[in-house]
Amino acid sequence: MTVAIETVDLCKQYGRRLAVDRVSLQVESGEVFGFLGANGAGKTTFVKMLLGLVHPTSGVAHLLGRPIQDPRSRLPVGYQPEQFRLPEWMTGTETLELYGQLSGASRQDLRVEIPRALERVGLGGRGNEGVRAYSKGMQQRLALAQALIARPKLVLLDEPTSALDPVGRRDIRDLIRALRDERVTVFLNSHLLAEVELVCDRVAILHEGSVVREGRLQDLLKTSTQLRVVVDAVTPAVVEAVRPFAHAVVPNGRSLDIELLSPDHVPAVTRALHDAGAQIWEVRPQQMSLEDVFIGIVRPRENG
Amino acid sequence: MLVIARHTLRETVRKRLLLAVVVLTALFLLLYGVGSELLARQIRERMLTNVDTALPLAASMLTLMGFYITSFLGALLAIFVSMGSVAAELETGTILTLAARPIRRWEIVLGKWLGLATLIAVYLIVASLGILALTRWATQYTPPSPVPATALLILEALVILSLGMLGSALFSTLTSGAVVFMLHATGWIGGLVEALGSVFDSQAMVTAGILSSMLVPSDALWKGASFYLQPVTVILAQNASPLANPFVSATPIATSMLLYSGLYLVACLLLTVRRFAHQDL
Repeated sequence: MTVAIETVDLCKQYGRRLAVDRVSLQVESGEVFGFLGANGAGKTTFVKMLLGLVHPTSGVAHLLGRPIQDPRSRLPVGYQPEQFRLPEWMTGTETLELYGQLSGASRQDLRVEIPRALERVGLGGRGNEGVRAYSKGMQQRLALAQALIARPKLVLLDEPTSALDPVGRRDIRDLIRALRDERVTVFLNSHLLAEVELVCDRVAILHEGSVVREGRLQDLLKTSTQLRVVVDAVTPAVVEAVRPFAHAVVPNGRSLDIELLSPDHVPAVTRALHDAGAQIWEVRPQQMSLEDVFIGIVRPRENG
Repeated sequence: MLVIARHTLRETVRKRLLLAVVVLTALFLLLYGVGSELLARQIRERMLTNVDTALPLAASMLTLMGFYITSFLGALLAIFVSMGSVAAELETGTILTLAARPIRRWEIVLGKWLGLATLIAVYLIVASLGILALTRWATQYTPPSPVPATALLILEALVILSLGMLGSALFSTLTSGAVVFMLHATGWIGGLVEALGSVFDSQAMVTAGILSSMLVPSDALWKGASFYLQPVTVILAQNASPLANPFVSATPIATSMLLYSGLYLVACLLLTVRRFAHQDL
């Protein structure tokens, strides 16, 4: 398996501010990778560095094995910028023709690829209309089409659904899944966590320029520290028995909501409850959403 | 690079900039034609004896004026098409999808230059041909060497184009247009000052004029073109007279000036490429 994106200690400094701080990432070919972060966390700067749009202050990066300083590294790459302004005086088809040619596609290929790309993003049959007359959502779809026009092996999408309605968002999710089925690597920049949760294999969370968490989506969601225990009766002794393992214990009728110090403490907690004389009816780790993980990581750092 | 050049050309056509320029130039040529015809008629009717000498002389003045305005329009066109060439793409963000392609930054700059240069050259050739044809039609006069004259006009406009692209890489669209226009005007006024300086024998004025020509060699190039548009008799008369016409030149352009203009153009392009290549988009 080849590596689609590899960065080592990639940095970008604007004046005194470090926009991207020593980011080292590996994105494998064929995976859908979610790059998460609040607005201003440095996601866009990172992607722009990969594409040669912004020059890194230091660090190394490769796209599909080629250093990013080599323009050929962008040959098999499609990019949808966050600000998806396309020349308004062109038609949809002309736009795709231009970008396809710049990406090295031949005219014959484009004759087939342009209608296909328009169809894929839901603009089938609208290619001869001027971009000026497109709605915001249609322009964003066209921006996605131009990223796909030269049959890329790697697609970098920067907030691809910001101008889309819920139906449009689902279309894009389906498209990303279809790309994964075609073994196209997708790097998705987003602050829409639900969206990322639905399509990504792996994610990295960027906070103030550095990667603070990275891993398989399932693993991140599994590191849940929320536990709900149902016992026969919640006594003060039972609550005290759990306390050494928890940040917080909230009794609620016959159940206890426990926020564990570590997810590894689940067996110890059940043993302590048992030793305190409680009859255990139910032990259930609370399923976390990516949002919980994200907030859990970002919030304490902001306060600290 | 050629894809970018074609794209740039198509942009100017599609944005109706070219249409506006063509319509205005057609209007100018129409007025020029009517003016020439009326003048020729006047001379034929009023001057019964010296028509054969007076008509070519008047026609040569008219042609000179026509080319003078064409040179001005060419420079103006160069300023207008170049002022947004880099800046507007940055301002609207269209540069992102362009520069993220497997091309180098210099290819974008040179591609744009090539597209715009083609447009300007074609425009100046057509406008020059228009003036020559109209003059010939009205007065049967043709200036001595219109080809090198037009070539110099094109060089002048291309110098402005390159300067304009540099401006566009450094400043916003509007600022760039204003700066380049003022630089062009400085070169033009400097040329007048230099000519007047030689009339009044003022070394300071001549030096100021030469310096301004170094700053923007557009007026020097126009003067070079004007030499090729005047009949020998007029040139001799000018050389003999102490009061030379400050708008034209009675000597051919110096090789060093020609060389300087070429270097100036290339330097502007190199600086544009350098600036654009280092820019974070």
